[in-house]
Amino acid sequence: MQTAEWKVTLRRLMKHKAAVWGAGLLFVLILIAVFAKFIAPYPPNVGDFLVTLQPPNAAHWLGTDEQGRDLLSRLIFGTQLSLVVGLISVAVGLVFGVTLGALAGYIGGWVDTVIMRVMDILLAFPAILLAVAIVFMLGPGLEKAVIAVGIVSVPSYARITRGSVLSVKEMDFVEAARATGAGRNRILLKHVLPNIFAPLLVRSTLGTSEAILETAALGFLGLGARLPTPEWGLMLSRGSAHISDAPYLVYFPGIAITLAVLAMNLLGDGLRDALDPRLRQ
Amino acid sequence: MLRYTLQRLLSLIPTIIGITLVVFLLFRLVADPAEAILGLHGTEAAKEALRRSLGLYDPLYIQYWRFLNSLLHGDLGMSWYLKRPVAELVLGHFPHTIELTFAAMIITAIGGIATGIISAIRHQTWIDYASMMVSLIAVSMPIFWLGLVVIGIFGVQLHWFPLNGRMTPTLLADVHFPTGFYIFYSLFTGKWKILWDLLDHLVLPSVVLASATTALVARITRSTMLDVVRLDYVRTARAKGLAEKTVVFKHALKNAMIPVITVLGLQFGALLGGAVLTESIFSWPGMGSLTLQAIGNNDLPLIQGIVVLSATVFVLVNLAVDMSYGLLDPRIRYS
Repeated sequence: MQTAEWKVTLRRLMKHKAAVWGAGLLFVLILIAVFAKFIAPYPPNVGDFLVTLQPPNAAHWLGTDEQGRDLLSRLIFGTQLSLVVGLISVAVGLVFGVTLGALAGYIGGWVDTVIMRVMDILLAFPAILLAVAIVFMLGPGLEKAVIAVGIVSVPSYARITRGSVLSVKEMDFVEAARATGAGRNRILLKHVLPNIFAPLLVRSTLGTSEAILETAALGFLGLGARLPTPEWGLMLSRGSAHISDAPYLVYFPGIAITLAVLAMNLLGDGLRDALDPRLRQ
Repeated sequence: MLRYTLQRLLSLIPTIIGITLVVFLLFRLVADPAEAILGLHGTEAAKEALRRSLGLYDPLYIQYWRFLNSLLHGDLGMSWYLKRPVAELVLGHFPHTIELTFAAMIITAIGGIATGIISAIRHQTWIDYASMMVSLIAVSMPIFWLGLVVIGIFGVQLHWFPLNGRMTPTLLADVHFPTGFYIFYSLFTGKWKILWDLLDHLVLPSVVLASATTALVARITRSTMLDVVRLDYVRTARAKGLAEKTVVFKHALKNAMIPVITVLGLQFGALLGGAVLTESIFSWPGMGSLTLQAIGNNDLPLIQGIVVLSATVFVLVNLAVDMSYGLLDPRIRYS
């Protein structure tokens, strides 16, 4: 995309109310994540057995958990984790998915057939079940969960990349690059990939929300982060034991996950609309 | 049509073989079954002997052939922890998941399509904005959180629905179900009291499971309906003086349904995945609970069997969705 086109997209994005809300919410979450150390009233992993399972009060705005740890502080530090986890999962999916999709689309022939058949087979698995199977094999842990969520998303990035490469590679400017003697790698990296950035940006934004949800789900199932990590899914899982006596331990981590996912979904929807050439006219 | 169906069925064979290959490689290359079975307590000699007895030193293609051959004979191996055939366990739990998924699918179809149509008809009114906002929040909510919240509100506080389980344990003693299809069995044998109890237990988990998929289907239905109602033939129908109801339901809806059916079919996979989480919250005795049990017990053959069966069912449902296009749109011809 040309700079002028990006300016048009940005203008359209700024007019998209939902996207502005999403971007605003995301900005607040990023600020919370970056300044967690300064905002959090208590250390996230230090408990006080004199104040266990306290409902929200003046000293602990969102209450305390069964170890007497401040829920608000844990949620604030959890923001860091969730955003980083979402971004790394998307990065894993992007690196492998874009590479495979670009090779399949650009080289074609048997390379395309083999790569896309493997991607089709991976898409035949329900996403969360495949992620569960991968983490089961790798062993539980937040890093493994992030890798699993990333791997599960590879086929969708590969498909989008392949489709976009197929349409871009026949365009005149790629032909011109080829005529000047540019090699395959140079054409792919310098000419093709920058021109398929738009669909990948939309997919990555929506993919981040899926990654946050799936990682939290793995945490909830006991396959993600380990205690005492303040990961939202794990906090929900621990809180579920107190649904009748301390329901706030369930409500607040869930609201935090929903807000993070909602921010990415609103922004993703807005980006899709802003980049859609049909809507642009 | 018959030829096309056969062709599509044949094309499933490489996909299903691919699924088995992915599962085989995933479970053979990454994990050491001897380590998983004997764990920390087994001596190295015992682990070595077990590896030999399981044929883990054979070439990979021989191991894969053995695995595939067993699958073709309906043998998914023995559960390491429960000491029962995996096929028996999986098939025993699967009907429970099918009934839950089926209920969620009905809610998704009816709720999603109805909301989408209403939003499209009332485009840019507060009904449209509110339903789309609720849809967006529903898509963004973690299903396991929603499950806990509805248990807290409708089970613990209001006592409207049972907290969890498939049916009231005292009633279970009065009846013998030949399969896990409890609801179908009660319906066809006229056991109304039991059926009512089963439906009572089904409400919360199925609504929770269907929440995100309903929202997604509502969004897709709305956008396709909005696309279709702008087409010339709909304008012609209106110009002819047809009632709005006829225009929407007889002319626009049928054509708008094709992408919606595709999305609905694809949601089956999401529902199967979501069932893992929903069942864990509602203690529903289906595949999700079995998966959790397998994870907790490090039961590799059981997880393997669950993944293979779920993926195969998912592929078959997608085929059924493909085949349904022709029924909806006579312009689609299979050749």
